[in-house]
Amino acid sequence: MHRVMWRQVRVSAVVMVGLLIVMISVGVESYNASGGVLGMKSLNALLKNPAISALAGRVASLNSAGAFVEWKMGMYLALAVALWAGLLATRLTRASEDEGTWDYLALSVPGRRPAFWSAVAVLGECCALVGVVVFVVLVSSSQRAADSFLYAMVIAGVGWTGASLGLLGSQLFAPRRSATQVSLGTIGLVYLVRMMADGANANGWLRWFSPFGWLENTGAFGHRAPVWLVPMLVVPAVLIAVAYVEQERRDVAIAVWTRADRSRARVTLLASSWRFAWRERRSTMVTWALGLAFFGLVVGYLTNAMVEFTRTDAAYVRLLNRWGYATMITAPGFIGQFCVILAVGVSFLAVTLIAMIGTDLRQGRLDIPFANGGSRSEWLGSGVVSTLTGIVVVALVCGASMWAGVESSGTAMALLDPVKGMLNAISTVPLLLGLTALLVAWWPRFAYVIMASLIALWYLVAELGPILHWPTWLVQASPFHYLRIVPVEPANWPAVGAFVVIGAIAAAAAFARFATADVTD
Amino acid sequence: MGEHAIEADGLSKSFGGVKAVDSLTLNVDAGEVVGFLGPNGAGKSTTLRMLLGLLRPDEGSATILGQPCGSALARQNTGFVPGDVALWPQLTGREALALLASLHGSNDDAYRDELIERFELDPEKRIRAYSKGNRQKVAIVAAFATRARVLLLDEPTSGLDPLMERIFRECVTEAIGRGQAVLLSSHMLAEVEHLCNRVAMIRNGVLVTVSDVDDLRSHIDVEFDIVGDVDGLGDVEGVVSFTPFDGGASARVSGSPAPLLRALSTRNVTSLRTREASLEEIFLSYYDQSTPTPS
Repeated sequence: MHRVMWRQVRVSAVVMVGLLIVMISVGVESYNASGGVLGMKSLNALLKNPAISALAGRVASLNSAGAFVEWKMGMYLALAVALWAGLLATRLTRASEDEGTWDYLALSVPGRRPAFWSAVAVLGECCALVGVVVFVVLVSSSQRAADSFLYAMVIAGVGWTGASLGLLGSQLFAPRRSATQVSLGTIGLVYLVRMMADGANANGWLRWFSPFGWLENTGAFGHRAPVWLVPMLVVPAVLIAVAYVEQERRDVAIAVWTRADRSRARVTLLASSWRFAWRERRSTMVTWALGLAFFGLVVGYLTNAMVEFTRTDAAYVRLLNRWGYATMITAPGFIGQFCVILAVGVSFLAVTLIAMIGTDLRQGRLDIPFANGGSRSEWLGSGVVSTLTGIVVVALVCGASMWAGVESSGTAMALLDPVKGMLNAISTVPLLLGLTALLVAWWPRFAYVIMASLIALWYLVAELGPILHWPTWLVQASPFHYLRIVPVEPANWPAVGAFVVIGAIAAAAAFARFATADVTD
Repeated sequence: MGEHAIEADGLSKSFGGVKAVDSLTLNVDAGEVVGFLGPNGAGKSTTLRMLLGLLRPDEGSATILGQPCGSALARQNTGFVPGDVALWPQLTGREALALLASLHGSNDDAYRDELIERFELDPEKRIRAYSKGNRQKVAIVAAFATRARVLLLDEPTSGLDPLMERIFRECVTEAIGRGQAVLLSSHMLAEVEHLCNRVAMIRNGVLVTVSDVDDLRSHIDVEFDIVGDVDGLGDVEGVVSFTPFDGGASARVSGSPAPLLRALSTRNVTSLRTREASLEEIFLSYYDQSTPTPS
């Protein structure tokens, strides 16, 4: 039972381990390349800035590479680990019940109870693995073992909390989609609580109610308060106990809140493959649009504080110049820079939407449509067109929300500025769509993993390559390297043209392959 | 090519060096149901998927109503029911039917509603809430409601209860009455016996026989004890299988047993027993991997 569950999570565990190694190593390298403790002096004033704290998290000091990792990447790492653990929890439990594989576990000689505890054990081991990797990477980067150990425990603890939320969500909600939405939504909510806590000193008490706040309160590389590990053990234990009681009480494949099995037919968006492409992607687009728009709103709202801050701290401006962020000292520049950061989110969305075709292929859902008259080229074409259109809409919504945030913070800005910035940010999307479509046509099983990994890699290379003096060819291989800071700089039209041409060639090859390839899982 | 509703000529397909289907030639005419039988993994689904254009044959070719398999015209004339129906779980049954109808291009809405009623399908339920049998019903209703001239059915009744199986048989009978051609892959021997004009049997990717069901019904098992050898008796006209044993042999004869009896009259036969073979026995003899492939 235990082994069967490990088989389900091992690939994503390997990916997560790889991500942790790369992110922490890059953080340490960035710290060293910036001149270590001395190089960080100019950042000290930043630590008191509520806007920065809300975005990246609060930190007590920057006197070691570990502390820098904790501040610069720690919050995002913790969020990624929590979301990952929550997803694994719903995968192992609720998804298994949806698919019926839980029945085999429940009917086996050990029975249903050990199946639940096996899932808990595997999730615990995954979180422990995360902790071990964090500890080993930090210690091998010459960080203090005691601090590294505490920090590793904290990251594992946040993951454990995410896993327990996923476990409880799986007992309370069905199908998996609902359980995942609620569990991950709760993780997002407590992250928001942390942002609010860090956004104003008066809100500091809110940190008590978020595992991300507990992470900050622990201060592994600063003030060191291991007592905050206690809620990371107690709260998940309570959540898991409730989940256990609920799973003992209920029938298999049923939850307290199960999405209605019956619904009135809505056929407007079923009249063609073009319309269905919209319908299939609609909820994903709306969810991402809301998330990115919220992020844009927060960034917009923080613009005023950030720009004011740069006016008062020359050392910070010098640091920005050295890191290649010179344009961030003005409101349009700050917004333009964040549009480039949002380009990564939009890129993941684009890949997710196209990769749905690969998922449908693997699940066998396209057998009947393709056998009974549906055109494969139309199917791929409608997927590409709906994705492209959806991305433009998401970019516009995001730009508009960013503008609303800027305006509400008291800074005047033309609506077109953030909109132009977001449209510039999605100029890589034609290239990504073409490449993803090509992978869907050739290796549908690996399309998403390959493209998602490439996006993460390309972004890291574009952001850190110039600072860390990585080889020019490597930096130039990243599409994100060619994004300019619009609206303070003109768009890089030759690069945009190249993205469109390469994307179109890749898409043409994808269409040729997809129209004739064997339809297999 | 083009005289038959379905024409497959020398179809072959390999997966990673394993030959799934080897030089398969088969025709199905309009108004005819051909049963497609064989053990699990024999190559039935691979053959059907080649006819549907979902797999490209390595060798050979196939047409649906004279159009190359997989072409737009062939697809528009084809209805397909897979053995394991996968659809979008969030759609309701009615929504899935609407989507499949719009993709096919033509649909008889009145007939669809009639089929929904006959199969007692609850179309307002989401696909994820359907049992396997109900998912099969969605695919069956979708395929038949298109009024496609060719129906390719891959174990369509798996998961259906006996009452629904009967409704399915009625639908197939009505379809052939309208001149539709049906290739029916099934393990339900009674269903094949009831519906099919001919049966094609495949084993290890090789089509071992295509026979009229009536011819199969006329099979007679002959068992005899003999003094001396049995050489040459397996090659006598009408003998489709021949199994020697110590002091005798058993043979399955298609059609008249007279040629075998004439041959036996020249040998020293000490005893002889005959009986009509049931269709199930005949089918199973093709399924049994341990017996030699019947000629």
